[in-house]
Amino acid sequence: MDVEKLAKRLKRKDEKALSELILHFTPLISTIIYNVGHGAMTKEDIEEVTSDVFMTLWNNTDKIQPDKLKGYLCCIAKTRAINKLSTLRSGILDIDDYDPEDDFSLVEHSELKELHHTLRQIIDTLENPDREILLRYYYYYQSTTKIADVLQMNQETVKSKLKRTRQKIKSILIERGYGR
Amino acid sequence: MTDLRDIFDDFEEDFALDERTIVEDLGIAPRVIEQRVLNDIHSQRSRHKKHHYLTTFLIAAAISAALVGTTVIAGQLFKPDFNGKFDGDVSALVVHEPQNFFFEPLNDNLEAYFGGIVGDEDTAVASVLLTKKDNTPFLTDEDGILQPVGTLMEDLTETEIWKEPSDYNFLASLRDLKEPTGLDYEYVFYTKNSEHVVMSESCTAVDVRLNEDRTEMTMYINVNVTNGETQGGAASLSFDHFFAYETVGLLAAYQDAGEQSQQQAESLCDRKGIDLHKNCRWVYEDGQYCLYYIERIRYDLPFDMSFTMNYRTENPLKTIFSAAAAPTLLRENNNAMMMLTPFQLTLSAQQLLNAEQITSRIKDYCLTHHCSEEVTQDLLFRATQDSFPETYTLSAIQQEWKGTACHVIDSARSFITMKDGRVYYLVLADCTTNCFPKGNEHLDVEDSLTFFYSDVPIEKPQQSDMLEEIQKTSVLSLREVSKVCINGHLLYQHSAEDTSTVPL
Repeated sequence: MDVEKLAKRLKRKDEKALSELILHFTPLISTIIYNVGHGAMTKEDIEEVTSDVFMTLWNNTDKIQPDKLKGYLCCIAKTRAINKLSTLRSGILDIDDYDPEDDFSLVEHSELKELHHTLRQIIDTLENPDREILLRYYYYYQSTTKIADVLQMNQETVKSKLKRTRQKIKSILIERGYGR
Repeated sequence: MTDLRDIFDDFEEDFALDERTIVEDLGIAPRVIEQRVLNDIHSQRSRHKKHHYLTTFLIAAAISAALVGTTVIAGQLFKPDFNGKFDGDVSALVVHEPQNFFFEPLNDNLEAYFGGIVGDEDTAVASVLLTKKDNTPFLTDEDGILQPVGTLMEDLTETEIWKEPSDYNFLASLRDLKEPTGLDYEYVFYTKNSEHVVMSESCTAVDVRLNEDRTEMTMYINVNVTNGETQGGAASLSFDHFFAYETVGLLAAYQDAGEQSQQQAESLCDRKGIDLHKNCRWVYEDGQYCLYYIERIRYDLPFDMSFTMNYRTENPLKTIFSAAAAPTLLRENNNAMMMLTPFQLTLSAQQLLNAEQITSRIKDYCLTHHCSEEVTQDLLFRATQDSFPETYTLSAIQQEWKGTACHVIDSARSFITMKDGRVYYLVLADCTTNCFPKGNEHLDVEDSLTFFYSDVPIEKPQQSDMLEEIQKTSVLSLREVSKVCINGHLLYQHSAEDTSTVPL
């Protein structure tokens, strides 16, 4: 499937393109919503938020960059899921995964775009499985239990690798002038 | 606290991981989602057709100047000209992004482009461009309505001000057209607590203009905003035909539309045997209120149209800064402030010097610059002289200004960064400096600079048409502004607390 072509058609308000994108991306988007919910959302909730994600996409076709459609959808999915969670008055993180030292208050929010660019560069230099663990945990909201299961690792190993990667990213960012 | 997850949540990047190991089997059928979304889209359209509207949106902010020049809403498919639509308080004007616009031609041969809405506290004007799908003209000479009425023109040449009509203006007033034409419309205001208040008399006029080859018809739909408590509204219009007015010729032009002008217009029409109310229309044009003689024409144009215009009357972004924050930009002074609007940025400052300070400053300055002026005063905004030795000019004061003040701005280091990374450079558009000597002891200086936004750094545009071009091309959404730098100094930075968790 050529997602970029579909995205271009979507920008022209082509409903068929939207249908094809829904069929293609629903499994991924609903999984991200499920992961963000950590079990707090029912199937109906997930269906509702998934639909909402695609409606949001449809109503904001002017904002679509065809080469970044998947990332844009994931981003909408996460924020919509977080919003839904807040209405359900539920927590986001498993207590097992909560790390009070995960403080990345290195930048003002307004500098996030610049930071994203830098972070992307850093992520691309990471070796697997560190890179994969990081992305699964932070980008796809998988729990450390699930990551350990998929990668056939001990959960504690996943957690320690995650912590080391986080520290590494933080120190590189500070070297590059972010933070206090 | 920001954690790494917060940063990833806004990441719009695609990482090449094997999705098969990420996707969970949740029993959610894509076809169900597809059907649900398509139903939502269709019911959204249906709601539009039934003239019920949802509140969403929007940016709002102040507009620059008195909209004497053409203003443009960013990111749209055509550039509406709101010239002359407003003459009130600039700071009260708001810009609405083009959303929730719905257009359905009943004969399926029209294309429509929404140009956005600009409004002030009293009036909002929506702009729509119509074209025919086959790109043929809306009107042809065979229609017989574009030929001037010769005998009438001869009569009118006796009036004080006269010019040939340079284009084909059609003015349609809803007040006149509501009955018995096919026009039907509804306007709904939203109050602060989201209650709807139907104000069906609020659509006051539709100005319809054709371009020179008559293939593009621009409609400006005026809506009265009469309730200060309202937060916005939704309008829907359904046409099947309307009576337009061909502007046959200009009768007179006045500086204002006050009572005296009205009386003069009435007197003029009496002398010419013209009915002011039936045969004339006022048009604000080139800074003047012009009285046109018009001919009424039936015009078939069947379509349904609706739009929402929810007000979020945000004030312009204002921030106070000090010489400590921007030492090469300005001297110590009072009330140094930056004000950002969608169309321009303004710096303003005041300075009150007593005799001792003036003397001290003159001595300091003359020691540095070997000047022999009796009294010398720096401008409040300036770059370092080292950066611009060839262009920096001083103004001398005795009791009044002498010479021409010259502000120097480094355009390459003066810019606005948007949250999405776009950069708009600031181009000096205008500066005013006023000195108010108070007796022999005090000197009150007021200084302000106006900047336009440009996609490229431009040091000092000399031609007014260049400035106009810059002004046309860039309009900022204040909600998207990340930071403002002038001469490399950070004067404004968006506060993280204001940021929505929703990335749209």
